[in-house]
Amino acid sequence: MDLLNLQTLTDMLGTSLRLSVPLIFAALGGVLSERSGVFNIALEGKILAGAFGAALGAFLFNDPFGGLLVGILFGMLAGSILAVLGVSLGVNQIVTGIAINLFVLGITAFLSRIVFGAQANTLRLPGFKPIDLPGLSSIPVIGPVLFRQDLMVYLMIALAILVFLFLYRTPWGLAVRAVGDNPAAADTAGIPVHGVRYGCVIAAGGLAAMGGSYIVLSQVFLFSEHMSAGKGFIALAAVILGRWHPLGALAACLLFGMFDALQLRLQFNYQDVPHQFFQMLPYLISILALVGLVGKPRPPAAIGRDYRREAK
Amino acid sequence: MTTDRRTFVALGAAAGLAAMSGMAMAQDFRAAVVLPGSITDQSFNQVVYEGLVKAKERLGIEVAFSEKVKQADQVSAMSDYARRGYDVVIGAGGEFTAAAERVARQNPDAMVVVINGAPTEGIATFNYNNPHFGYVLGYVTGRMSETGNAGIVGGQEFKAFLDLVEGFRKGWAAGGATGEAMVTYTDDWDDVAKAKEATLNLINQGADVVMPYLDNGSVGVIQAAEESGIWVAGLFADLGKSVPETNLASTVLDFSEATAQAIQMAHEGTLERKNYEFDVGSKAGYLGTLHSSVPEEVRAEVEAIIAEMQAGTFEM
Repeated sequence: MDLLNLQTLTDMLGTSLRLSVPLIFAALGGVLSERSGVFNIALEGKILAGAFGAALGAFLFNDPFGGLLVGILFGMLAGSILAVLGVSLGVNQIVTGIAINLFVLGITAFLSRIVFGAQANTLRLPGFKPIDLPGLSSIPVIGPVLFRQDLMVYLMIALAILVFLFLYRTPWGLAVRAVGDNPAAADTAGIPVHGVRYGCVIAAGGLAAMGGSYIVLSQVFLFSEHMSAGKGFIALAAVILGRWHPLGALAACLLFGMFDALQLRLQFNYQDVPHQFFQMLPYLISILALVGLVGKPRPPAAIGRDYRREAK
Repeated sequence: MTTDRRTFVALGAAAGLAAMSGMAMAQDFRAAVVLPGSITDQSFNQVVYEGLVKAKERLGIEVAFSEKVKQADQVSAMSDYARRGYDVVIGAGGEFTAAAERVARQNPDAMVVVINGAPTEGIATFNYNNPHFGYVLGYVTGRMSETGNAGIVGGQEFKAFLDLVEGFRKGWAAGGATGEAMVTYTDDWDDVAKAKEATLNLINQGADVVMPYLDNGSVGVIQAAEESGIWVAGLFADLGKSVPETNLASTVLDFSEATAQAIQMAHEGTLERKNYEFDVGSKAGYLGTLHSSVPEEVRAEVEAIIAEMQAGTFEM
């Protein structure tokens, strides 16, 4: 393979970015929710809920913005289930997350058959179109990759920065981190622990759903059952690999996306090497990175633990 | 016809029993299908499901199905039906072969069938002559390709697929295409976005014909071809009906007919535990639509190849 060929490089980086975007949205949601101390295994289900909502909204309103809105709403709805069960009722958050994933998988398949019926896979929904940023988009390689994208990609970049600023530069962010590390202390300081967790988990639902909306509104313009295809779990790995930091998670997602793109391309340049080897690469890298590069991962101290003021 | 008479008698007996006891007895013929994907995937799972419905309507039997059954659950899903006394239990897809063999050994009374499965002792398998189907598609598309390169997007590597690819490549070369037929695996039968990216990559490598071998993921391959203005070749369903502008050539593997036939044979008691194979040009597998720009001479050549295949004189 000739990586020095500019066109090849541009194509590959473009593919990397497109494969990363849904992961990044979901991982940002994961960071937010886990930083507040709530495990978010349900990212997968929220991506799928968002994808279905986006398809439904775009179908009903015949407009991608309507799709995005309904997608986010569906994701927040899935997030609210996790919040009520995992935060208020103190149900095991991992079990709740798995339950939500399975529930969403079933209900979206069921509803999609009712709404779209047999045309589900041939339908072409209205979606976002790439916007050229004049001047910038004509820079070789980087131009088309970064500055000839649609609204969702620019939104993703803005949100990554916003989540970072929110968590590390605002008092609310400090409150979130405090709740995730030491809810008792935060409570003593007058921070509403459950309120903060509700906010974070529901916002995480909206963020992950935007990842699903991206798949529908920018990539394939239709809903197909189980189209999240495990992306939520990869995003979860990215949260850990990125050490619960929004920009770290973003970098991890880009890494996963790049290896995914690379393996798609390597497969037919080296047809003698078993394709499973290339498919293994992103995960091998993440294991190596977890072991060697980022040291021992240190999750938020109170993650997964139910907080009750009166309980010891 | 004996079938009709038998069906009539069976139905009559069942109705009589039902009337006497107030409920249907276990004497009713029951068929179950276990599917790896969803019954609305516009691909393999959907057509097998349609075959089950067809059998139900034709024979008036009782049917059941389980969809989205994962590899780890194959044995339990199939043996559950066998234990509950289903007369025929069908695994949809070659990936059920190993599980079916175990289930058949443990439940000698049930007839276990695998659609598209490798010939295996103790079970009935219904197969397509994959190299021949691949050859026909490869030949037509190879005659029409301008770049000489084709791309095939598969989910996972298994024998039926590799046989098909081998046939495709021979047909591709015989059709005069000079480049290669590249294969990419997405490792996920449903991931539409990844299938689309994989296809765009193949197109960037110079492919002007792509062929999906996926479930829901097929849609991504077709979309990428449409957007890039290149051809798509269809194996399972006639893409000439859904995307007539982009479809260059389609064969139809009518798994619904194969499934319905398997159930009908089991119902008649003629089904044996052996391998059944459909060739191109049979009722369950035939050439579908060719694009209107395919010239007469190419059509005639393909007809001649299929005639040879049916006569059994064809050699690749």
